[in-house]
Amino acid sequence: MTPSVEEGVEPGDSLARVRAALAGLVSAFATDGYDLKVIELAQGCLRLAIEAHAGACAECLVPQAMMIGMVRTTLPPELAGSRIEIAYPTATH
Amino acid sequence: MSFEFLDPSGGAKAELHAVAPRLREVKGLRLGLLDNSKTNAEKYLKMVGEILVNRYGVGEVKLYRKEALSKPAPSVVLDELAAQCDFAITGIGDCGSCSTNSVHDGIEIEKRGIPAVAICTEAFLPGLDALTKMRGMPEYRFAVVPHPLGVLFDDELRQRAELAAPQVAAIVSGERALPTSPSVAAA
Repeated sequence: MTPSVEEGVEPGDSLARVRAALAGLVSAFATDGYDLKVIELAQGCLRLAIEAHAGACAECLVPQAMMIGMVRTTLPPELAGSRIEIAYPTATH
Repeated sequence: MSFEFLDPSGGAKAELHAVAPRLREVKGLRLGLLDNSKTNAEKYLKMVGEILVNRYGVGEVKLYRKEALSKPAPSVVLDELAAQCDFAITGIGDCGSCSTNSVHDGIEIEKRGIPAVAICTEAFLPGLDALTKMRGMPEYRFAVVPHPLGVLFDDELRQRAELAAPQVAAIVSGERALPTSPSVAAA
């Protein structure tokens, strides 16, 4: 059971809604050379990863806690209560 | 001694704050520029300040600086600026951390009682909209210019200063409709 996902909604649908909601953030952070990737939504936990392209600006990447906050604020309301984990590039954070 | 644990991710509901009272006009007032030390920041903010002096009658421009663009400004800098100025501009924001921290600084100055406008590029609008909600000031407005700012020559910077200055004047005086840059309007 995944408490943050509506009953009767397939996990794939939720993931698609997450990707749609985060599209703006994905585009924003791509400007600095980072890919914000949605990995999975399972057991009430949304897992994301940030991957740095060659030449990405290390100082430009927002701190992890702030990134989690922005993702949470941007998620559809029914998913905003999910636990959020974001894997950061180890070289920068 | 007791400790209060805070969730920096915004998981807890943020306390809502109103923006500072708007100004009737900027003529004769003191403008504080908060330079975040990014390349071109001081030069660009001074260009915007110069336009506000020459066209809007701003009385005085003071420059403040923080040393790290990727961190919030120290409280002592924000306190000094808010005590010595009538309104402020923060920036420049044309990357993830410098945009979010410019908006963060602007919100913190507004909490100290004077209007403050962060100047950011359009690239980071989705993140900044989320940030104003996270920081409990969803009504906070910032000036938006085309991306980028940090890698431009002076003539290009001047063009973007021309786009930002009217937005700053409109935001601090509480005008609802903002002049927008051509690329932002087209987006």
